[in-house]
Amino acid sequence: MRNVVLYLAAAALASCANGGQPPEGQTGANPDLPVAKQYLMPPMHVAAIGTWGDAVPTAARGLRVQRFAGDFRNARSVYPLPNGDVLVVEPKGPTEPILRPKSIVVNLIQGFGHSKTEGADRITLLRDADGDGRPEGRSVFLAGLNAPFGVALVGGDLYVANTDAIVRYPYRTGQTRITAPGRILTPLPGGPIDHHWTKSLVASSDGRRLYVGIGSNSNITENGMEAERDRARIWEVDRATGAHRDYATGLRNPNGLSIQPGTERLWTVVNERDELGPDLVPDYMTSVREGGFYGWPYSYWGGHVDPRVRPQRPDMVARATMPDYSLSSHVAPLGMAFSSGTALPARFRAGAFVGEHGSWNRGKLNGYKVVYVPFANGRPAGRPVDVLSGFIGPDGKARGRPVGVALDRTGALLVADDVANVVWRVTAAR
Amino acid sequence: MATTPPRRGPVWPPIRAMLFAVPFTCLVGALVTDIAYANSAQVQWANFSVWLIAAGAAVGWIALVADAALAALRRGRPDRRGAFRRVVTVFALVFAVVNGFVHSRDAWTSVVPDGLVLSAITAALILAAGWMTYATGDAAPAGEA
Repeated sequence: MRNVVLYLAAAALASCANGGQPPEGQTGANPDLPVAKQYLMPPMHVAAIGTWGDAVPTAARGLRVQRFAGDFRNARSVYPLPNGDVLVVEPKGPTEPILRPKSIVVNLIQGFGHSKTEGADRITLLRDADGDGRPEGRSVFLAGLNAPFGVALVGGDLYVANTDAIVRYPYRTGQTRITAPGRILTPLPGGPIDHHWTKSLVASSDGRRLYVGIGSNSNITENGMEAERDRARIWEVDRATGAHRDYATGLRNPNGLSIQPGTERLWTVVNERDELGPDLVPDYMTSVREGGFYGWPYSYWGGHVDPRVRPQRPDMVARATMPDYSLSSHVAPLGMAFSSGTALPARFRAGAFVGEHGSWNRGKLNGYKVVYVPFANGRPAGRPVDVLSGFIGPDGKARGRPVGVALDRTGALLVADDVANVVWRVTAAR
Repeated sequence: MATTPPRRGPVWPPIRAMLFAVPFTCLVGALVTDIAYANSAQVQWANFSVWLIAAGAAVGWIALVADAALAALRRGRPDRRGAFRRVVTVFALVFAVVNGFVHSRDAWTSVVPDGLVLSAITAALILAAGWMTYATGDAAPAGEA
């Protein structure tokens, strides 16, 4: 075997077409949706872990990519501070309890596609004061966290979204380490199952509110409806009191929460459900309508009913909101950042970047890249463009997997890679 | 009065009886927990089902292979009743394995309707095999002794 790629499509058991259609037909506002299928063994293909060696990802024409920093312990998100320092979040994902024999098999298979480096539950600060793309300073900024993912700074208050709480720390510009104890602003739904554990965080433009993404506690309610209380939604949190309310619901696993410059609207990228086929269900990017219900678990892409859910809720299906923009199925978008500034070439200045961690639930790999979705008049317009690709090497192994993305003070795009444990920095080619 | 020590019987029949008790119990039990799930949509019943199916199938195959191997090694008259019983058991266990995959889907359709039907077929076959094993009144069926 050329590599340890696990191709468990089990041809004898499953039908054809497990590889999936080319994803281009499924991006945009009106994706093709095939008929849902259920399998004895769902199509699975997890790229084994490779190494970059001297190679780097492939940047789009007009762009250049460099290794900004490495040797992290599970680099999942990046957060540039106003003074130019960059925070790299290194969570240790919680361990899910084994509830069925399937849990053991799934853990084993997905483990092939993850770095063997264990997370550190900390945040590392990088300082590149001269902006040359080579940080001179590096320090442990915050330690002793609990599966952190989202970070948001409002004035002198730094908020970290652990998997079980938003915690506030005092921050002074230029600080390289926070030792002050944090204060819990709002507890979040965490264990004991904590299936989708990443809590994405963003502050409103006026700084009065925080938005936090809370993923579902299962693929499609297989851990019981009770486990989904307060899950699969975005909370709006009052920064002064910590009080929260549902801002939007039915979002299976919302990440990359971002405020759109100009409109000041909230956007997110969402990981949709698995095991209905290689081309179902499309993951998407959407503006988040206040009070909106986006279907999970009862339906997908508007009113497409999921037969796996009991009780069925035709009343909820009827009010399910259609997302704005399909990124195609199983790409696993985990990071999103709007364009800003003029440092990147003109064609990357009016849209959004999305970090696609990559698929496991289809034969042909999908995602494993960073794309740019062009916008016009505040709405996505046109097909996604590959910004950073080549994460799957010529040997079929994953040399890296992109997660969080952000634009730094200079306007360069930063990309967290949780397999290589590197932060990549993309600038205009000279 | 002289005492005669009890005669030691062959080792395999009691071991086999205990081993076969696992698939009988578990695969019939899975039908019961499936019915409970279909009536309640409480996911823990479906979890019980899939563990019962996994245990029943795993121990069932071990018991069947050992039984068949011993039967093949045994000399004597052809044992057609034992062969038929083993074929029925093979069918039961094949259905159990397929059913394990169906039960590994997520939520409702892991049980209703496919899983429930497969559990019923599996339970019927394993009960038939059990009947053939024990209805003879022969503690050591299939001619071992």
